[in-house]
Amino acid sequence: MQIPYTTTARPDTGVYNAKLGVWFFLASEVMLFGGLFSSYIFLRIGAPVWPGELGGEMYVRAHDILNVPLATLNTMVLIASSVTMVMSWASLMMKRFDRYRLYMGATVAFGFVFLIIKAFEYGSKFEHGLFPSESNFLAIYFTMTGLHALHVIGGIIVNAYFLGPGAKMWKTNPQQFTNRIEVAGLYWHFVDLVWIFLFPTIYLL
Amino acid sequence: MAHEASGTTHEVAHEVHDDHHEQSFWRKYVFSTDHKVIGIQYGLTSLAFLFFGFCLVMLMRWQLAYPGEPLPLIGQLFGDERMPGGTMLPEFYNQLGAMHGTIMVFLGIVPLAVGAFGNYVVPLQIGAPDMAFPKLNMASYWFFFLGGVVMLSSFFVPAGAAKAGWTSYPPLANIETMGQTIWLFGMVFLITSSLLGALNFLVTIIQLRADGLTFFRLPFFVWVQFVTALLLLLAFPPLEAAAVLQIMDRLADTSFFMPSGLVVSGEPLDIAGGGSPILWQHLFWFLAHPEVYVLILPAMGIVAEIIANNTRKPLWGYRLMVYSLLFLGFMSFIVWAHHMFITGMGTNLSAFFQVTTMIISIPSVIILSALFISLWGGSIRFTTPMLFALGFLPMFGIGGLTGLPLGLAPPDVHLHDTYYVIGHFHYVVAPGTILALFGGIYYWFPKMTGRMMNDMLGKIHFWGTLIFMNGIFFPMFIQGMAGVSRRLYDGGQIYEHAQGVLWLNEVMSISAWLLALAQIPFIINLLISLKKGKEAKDNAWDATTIEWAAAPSPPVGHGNFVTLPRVYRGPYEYSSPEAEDHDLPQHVPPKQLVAEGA
Amino acid sequence: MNEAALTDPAVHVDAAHAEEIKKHVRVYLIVFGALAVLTVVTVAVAYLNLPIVAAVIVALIIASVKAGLVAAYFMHLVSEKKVIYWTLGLTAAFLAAMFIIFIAAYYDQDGNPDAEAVPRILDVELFEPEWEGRFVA
Repeated sequence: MQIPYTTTARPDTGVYNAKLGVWFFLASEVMLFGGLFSSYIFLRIGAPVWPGELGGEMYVRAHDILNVPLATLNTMVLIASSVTMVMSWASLMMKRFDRYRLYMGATVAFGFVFLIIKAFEYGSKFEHGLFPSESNFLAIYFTMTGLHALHVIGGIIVNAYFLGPGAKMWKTNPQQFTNRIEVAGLYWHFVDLVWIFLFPTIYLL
Repeated sequence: MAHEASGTTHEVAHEVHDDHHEQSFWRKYVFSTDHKVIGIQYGLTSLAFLFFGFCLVMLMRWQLAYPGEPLPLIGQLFGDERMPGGTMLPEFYNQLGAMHGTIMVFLGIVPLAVGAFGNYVVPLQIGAPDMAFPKLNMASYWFFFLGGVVMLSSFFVPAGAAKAGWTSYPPLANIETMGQTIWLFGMVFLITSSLLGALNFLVTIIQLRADGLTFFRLPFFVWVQFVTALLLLLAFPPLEAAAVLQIMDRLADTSFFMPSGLVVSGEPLDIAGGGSPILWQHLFWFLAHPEVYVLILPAMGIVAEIIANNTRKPLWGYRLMVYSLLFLGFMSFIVWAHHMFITGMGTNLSAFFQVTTMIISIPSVIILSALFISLWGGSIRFTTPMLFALGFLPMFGIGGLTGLPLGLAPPDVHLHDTYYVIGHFHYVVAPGTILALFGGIYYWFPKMTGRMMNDMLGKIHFWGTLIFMNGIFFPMFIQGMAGVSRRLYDGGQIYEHAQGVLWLNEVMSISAWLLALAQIPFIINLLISLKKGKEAKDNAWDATTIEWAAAPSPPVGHGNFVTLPRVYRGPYEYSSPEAEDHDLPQHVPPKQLVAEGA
Repeated sequence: MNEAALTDPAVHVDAAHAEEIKKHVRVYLIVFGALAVLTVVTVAVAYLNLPIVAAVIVALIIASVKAGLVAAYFMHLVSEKKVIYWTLGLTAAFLAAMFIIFIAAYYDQDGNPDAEAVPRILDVELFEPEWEGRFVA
């Protein structure tokens, strides 16, 4: 049994199955993060001061509590990983499998760097007794960046698979493998995109 | 294109058969990627959950009819922490209530309507060999199964299952016992399952339609599954977000839904505060209102199929129905706060939601009217599935019309959280959707098994179900208008204003138990027909849609069609004047019709 | 530029297409530069301590531009098929409805509390000493 349009595009829609599938998945992810962002807005406009009181001190700017330089660095890391991701796909389009491995390797590595920086950031918060239960600001910060970090971990797993065992498909079905990298890329860029909104709304405002 | 199929029918069928010899039992029946097997898995599991959820409410009905009296015979079996001496504790009553709602909605109706019928029928109706992503399909079922197991396991943790109602409103849900946390994790599994299922349906319907099967040639059932999948895909994630926030509230002591200054049992809570319980309600109802349409739309689709088939003529206003359906799906996202009129919502917002709610009733009425008009002038075959479909029409009518007063804020202030609400949504879902789902089982059973279900037993089942369902739910309107609240452990005994309508509790409870008895013919029918039923011909109901007309019953192994069909016309060309009042199946080329002199 | 060749891998890739993709690689690098610059700008603006409304507007504009660049070029939305635009358009509509109604729901509640005041809903205190509910911290 063969499912139609797994590799080639259906003529009338112009897309192959997995691409449409991942876009539907991303649409639902938009609504997931949308739900969290609207909760954030709802709680924030209801709060008299934001971020508000923490450990006996009153804060009016988030960047007095959170580590903006580290988060800026992380933004750069994630953007760079998006570029290497799209380059790994372009390499496959140019039939350069060697370059693909290089770029995909870099994408996975950047993903890890992001998580390590994140871990340092969380660690120093915990050291200072800044836990999610302390205030709604910290609760939002940990929940939203935490859920984003889970998405990064998911992306790393997928990308690592396509770097390692999944790459065998290049030999048997290069077209489908290229499609898979495109689809994995769409997800990875979405994770980057969420961060692009998380960074200013949580760290800077 | 992958539409390659060569050789004679017989050869290919043999090949397909050979393919499956190599598969082990586990791959073929348990971890199968065949949409037909997964559909049947969904069907059996969700029927089991429906039965279980019904058992929960039968226990509750004992307490409501005879408050405080020990349940004879089986009462002792539940243990002292639930029913000491056979008398139900309030905590156990609350567990039953919350879990009845959760199980019926998320583990019973939706998986049966979407997971089972959608999975089994949609690929066949669109002429596809399988769903677009068979492995995701399997994952979807197993996430659902896992979610169900997690939900059921919560009965056995200390202090039992979730007790804060199926809506899990905080702050109550936040200070609940452990069962609530398990409820939330169960919901995360179920949401994941429905997400995987929904995107699979959407891609399948868009990408795998047979050649010539344009969108306006799709059977109405495929259309409803399409819109349902869109609702599941886009409405469920905000509830997932809400579940994540409530999990944080419960496990990390955050205060997303906890207001400042909350005092419980005379003690101030040691929390940061500053959260909003109303936020949960917004996120919850953002899902749960579209969810109402997830419950009802597949039922409408099943009824449309059955009515077209049994009146032997095209559906009246097919295009109008489709446009109404799309409009309904869209509007269902912006009516949610009509569940929240008494939360202190301002008049502007309340006016907005009253208007959208009145607007959304229009497409529902159009679809229902189109189905009624479809009956006009038909020579109706009163088969068992048709009886259920005909039963659905007035029952859904009652359910829908009793919703109007709830959609307007002033009457809602009186009726909110009374038995009237319970009566309203049960009329939509129980005599409405469940009747249609039974109809679907009788209609597609021959497709799945190659055998007919017994007509006599089916008719007994229909009349018993119809009468006793009304016996349960109609008195609820009377009690509700008298002001009896829902979620009362004693059924309203302590309230002066409830005294006049208390006798109805016994009527409803006896109806509920009789309804259980009325299901016995169905269960017997299902089991016996599986082996001993009359053998069905391939097109058991002489239908024109391709799941019947172009595939054998049951369809050949994994892959469905010997050659993928091509479609030449709309779905319900029954008694077509173009072919001397013969039926025109979707896949038969016009030339062949002429040649056969049909 | 032949966008279709880039976004639709079904198109046979020959030497000419490889050239096309090389051009796109240049676009990717330009986008990367733009994203990096915008990140620095948004951080710099944050330290200006603008009034909150202005700060929100500026930050959201910059974030939207960045997100637009990622979506348009890295995710190839500049040249995508209709079915995907429909999907995203529908999602965007529901997302907008959610944002707008959530905000409206805050400002239109039981007597329209002004933004400075602690909303009334947070003042609720439940004193029910008689109630014997279970409490688990």
